[in-house]
Amino acid sequence: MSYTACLFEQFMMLMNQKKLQHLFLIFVLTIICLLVSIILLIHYNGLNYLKKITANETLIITWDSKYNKEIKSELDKLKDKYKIQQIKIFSPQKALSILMKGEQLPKNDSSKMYQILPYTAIISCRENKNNLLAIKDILKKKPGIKRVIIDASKIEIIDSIRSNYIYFLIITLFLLFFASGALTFSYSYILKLSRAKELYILKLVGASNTFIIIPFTLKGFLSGILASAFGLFMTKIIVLYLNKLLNTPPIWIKIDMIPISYCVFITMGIVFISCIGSLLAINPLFKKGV
Amino acid sequence: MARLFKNNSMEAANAIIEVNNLYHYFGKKKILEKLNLAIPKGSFVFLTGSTGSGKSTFLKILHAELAPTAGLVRVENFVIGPKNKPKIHLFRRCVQMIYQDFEILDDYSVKQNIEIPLRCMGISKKNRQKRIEVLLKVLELEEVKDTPSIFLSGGEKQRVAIARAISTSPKILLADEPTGNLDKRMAKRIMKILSHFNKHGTTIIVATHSIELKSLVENPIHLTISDSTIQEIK
Repeated sequence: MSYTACLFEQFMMLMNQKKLQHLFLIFVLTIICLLVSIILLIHYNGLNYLKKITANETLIITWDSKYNKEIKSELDKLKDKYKIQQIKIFSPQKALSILMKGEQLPKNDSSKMYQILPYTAIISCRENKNNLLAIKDILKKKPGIKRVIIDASKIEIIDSIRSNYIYFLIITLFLLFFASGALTFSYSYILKLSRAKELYILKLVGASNTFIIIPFTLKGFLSGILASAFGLFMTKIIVLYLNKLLNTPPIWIKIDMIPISYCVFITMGIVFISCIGSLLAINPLFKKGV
Repeated sequence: MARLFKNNSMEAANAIIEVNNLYHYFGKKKILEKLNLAIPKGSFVFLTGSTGSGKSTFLKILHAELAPTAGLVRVENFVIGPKNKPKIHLFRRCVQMIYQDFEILDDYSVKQNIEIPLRCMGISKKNRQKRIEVLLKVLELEEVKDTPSIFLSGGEKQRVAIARAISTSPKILLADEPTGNLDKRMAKRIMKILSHFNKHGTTIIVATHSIELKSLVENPIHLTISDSTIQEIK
């Protein structure tokens, strides 16, 4: 995303050049690298939130109505011990009402049914997997408990994927730097080709290497700065848009902007690599004996 | 009038260009062989020879565009050899070249083309403008000063190339067939311009086929290259 402007300009230039397949390959690889990095970043963010959601997954228990008092007092004890955030208990009447979408059931008919139907409780233990598992173990052993449901295995899988993703992200960051360098290199190389005669004549009439290097490096430097600024601006816009879209009920997912220190680091990296890329592109010019 | 070959030490001391045992090969093809000469300061040299005799190669060696296969060339205070390469940006302030195919930038205007070496030398904009105005007047290019070079005639292009070459007041001016593309009238005009600069102390070496141009210059030196060697024609 941070190089959209440069990519477009370069693509337009490539369209006008022949015999530049190798540069086209670099161009394609760069786009792939950028896409992969974007996809990985999105996945990483997605996994983070998925973990939060699943960690916040409710423990659903059902019990026989006969044991209602015992289970309720047990839940009260557990609430303090395991820092349970929320316990929502649904009586059979309430559960039926939810199932029947608020319709009132006839009292006589329902009374028998209520005796058969179990009580349900939803226990939320935000981002504390171990507590949730401990509660599960305790409640399982209690008489009258019919079902205790928790899907902790999902959390573990996501955790392992997430930890592996960090390595992928580090590699991706380097790929991103490489891609920006390659992009600036090929961009400067095409620029050099398009200005080959001018550069040749400049050398013929006595231009020093510095005289030729400065405009090219400056262009790499400025394109790095502008592209990074453009990329960060776009990211900010997208973050705002996604928050507007996702940070509403019932999803409540808040996406945070990258910290400013990361932004500075990435910008500096891209600018540095851009300058190196433009210098490498122009380097062969100084080896010729003009 | 100074003569050229190195036998005379007085002449060698006055020489602005000194060539010692110069050899040049393109692959196995022999182009120049054992050249020894000294060109005095302020002389006007005509270099003749058949096509492919090595005139342009010799000029390119003097301009440090080509490194000789063997031997040494001293141009002013710069030494050019197979492994010796002068600092080009300093060297070219001293030696400029006019090309047969002009080597000017088509999409640049006349003024911009003349300005290139001055910009390279870091001359201030005010001084650049002053010099350009003088050159435009001397070479009668005032009317086309803002015209892109692609729209110029052959004679005008040649004058732009000359203006660019002399804009930095070089001590040595090399010209490779400067009148090759021009009619006789324009060729005479160009030679008069070069002669004018020669009178002001610039050493000029012109590679040409048209030896009749010699008559337009005072005290010219005529060198010819044949069979890879150089000789003076008196």
